[in-house]
Amino acid sequence: MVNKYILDIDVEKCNACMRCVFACSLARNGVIDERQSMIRIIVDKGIVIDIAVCRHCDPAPCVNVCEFDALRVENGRIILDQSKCTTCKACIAVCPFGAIRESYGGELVKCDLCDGDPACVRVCPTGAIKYIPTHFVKTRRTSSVTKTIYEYVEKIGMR
Amino acid sequence: MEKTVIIGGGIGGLYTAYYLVKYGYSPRNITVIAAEWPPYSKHRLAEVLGEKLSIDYTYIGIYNPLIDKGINVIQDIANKIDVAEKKVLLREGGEITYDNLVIATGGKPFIPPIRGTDLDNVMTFYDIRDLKKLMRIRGSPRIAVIGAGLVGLTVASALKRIGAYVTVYELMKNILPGVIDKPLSSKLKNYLVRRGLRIHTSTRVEEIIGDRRVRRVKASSRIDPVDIVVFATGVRPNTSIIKNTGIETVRGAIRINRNGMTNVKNIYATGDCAFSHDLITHKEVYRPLGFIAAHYTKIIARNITGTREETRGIVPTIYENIGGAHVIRVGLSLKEAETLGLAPTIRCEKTIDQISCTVLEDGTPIGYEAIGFSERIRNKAWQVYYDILNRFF
Repeated sequence: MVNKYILDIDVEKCNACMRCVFACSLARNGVIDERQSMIRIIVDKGIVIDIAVCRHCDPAPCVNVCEFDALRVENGRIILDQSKCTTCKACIAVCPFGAIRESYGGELVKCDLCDGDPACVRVCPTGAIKYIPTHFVKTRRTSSVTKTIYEYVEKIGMR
Repeated sequence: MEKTVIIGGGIGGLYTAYYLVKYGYSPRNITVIAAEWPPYSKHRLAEVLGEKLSIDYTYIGIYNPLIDKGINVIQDIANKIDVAEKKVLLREGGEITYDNLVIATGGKPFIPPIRGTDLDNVMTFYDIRDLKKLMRIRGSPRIAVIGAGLVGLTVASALKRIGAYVTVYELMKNILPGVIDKPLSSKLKNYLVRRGLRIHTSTRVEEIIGDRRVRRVKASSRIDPVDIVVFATGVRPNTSIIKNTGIETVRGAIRINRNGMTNVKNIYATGDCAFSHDLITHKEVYRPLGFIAAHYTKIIARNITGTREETRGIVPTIYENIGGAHVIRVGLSLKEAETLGLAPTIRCEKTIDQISCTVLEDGTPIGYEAIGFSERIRNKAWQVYYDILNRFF
């Protein structure tokens, strides 16, 4: 069955409070550590320029490129299997969102949507990260400012 | 039941075993001959060094499940292949017969033929032994890294991070000559120099000078005092095992067809010991990259388990974080496309924190390269990747 919900990111609403970043690593690893978080807020000169997190694209370039069987699609989510990953980083090269990243020792981490209840969404105070039905994302009116690859991927389809 | 013997416990050997099991081959009939065990990933060596982590981080997680399933692992070195008798002779004595043989012996680091490479503290950065040696570094030694490729620059950044004074020597005019083209590499060089790495391009290292220990490096127009020399001057195929077997090689690497098979029936090869096929030009190329090894393990496992499957070829996809800069390369670079006989053009664009170039042939993208200097990795490589697949696959 296809997942009906998707992480919807609105960079303009983000005030870089970092709650999602800490909640992510806490939910997944039990520690508050920016480097183990699967979501990143990228700030340049005081302005939030991007929130890097997996959009679970369809088709997913990372799944296509992985030769190690480490990335797979499961219930409409893209799951990274650490035990099979050798850190060849081919997936990082083709990720449209820069969402896969290196943690300690070259271990790669990426969002798995917390089994359907994303911790980042629960703590986001501004509504920059929402977990909403897919059809809602596709019909959302987009301002010209946010016209990015994100929209392009929406057009060609998302999970 | 037929038996498959895999020579090599690196990525090629390990993932051949993995895919064989996945495609329904009986694990009991798989034997891996590995010189080093447990298997580790070379992509993680520099990270572990730079972050002063435990060596455990380098190990690849799938070996335990494979052993639980019952594959046989022999920790030994294969000495000889007897093609007529279909058996492999081991160094410690003993032999194993096979029905299918997979050669995944990997590569060996290349050291240029100059004087002084046999001195103490002259080493390569290739395998886990080299990592262990460099992990013992204390204080701030002066280290010369020779070769500014992906390995050279990542190890140089890692060494700088743990406090060493690092100087990089590169024979070619640009850094990362095999990965990115000039407009990007000169920017990357400036960035790394600003971050405190010394880089000498167009500099040929002529001699390593020292008494028992290394003392100086003599390069084109300079003599620098050093404590440690690290060679990162590329990889050559490790194919000593196929001597007198009749297996065909091209410039030292094993030639394989699109099923991953050598010219000898039922003998396959993959990884740094073998050639691979390029998707765009359909030519045979030697690219010692981990995911290319893994690509062929899948093909080989399919063919051994009875499904005829051919590879259409490889699109290289490379990402590396070098001292905080992101380097991305998908498809062919301008230089590589020219070497492969195409007449490409390059189109570059610059954003606030990223420079990206698309390599075009007749107006169609055949490659993409980018460097980024902020935390943001987001880029358009995936578009070019799909363009290439759509057009050439």
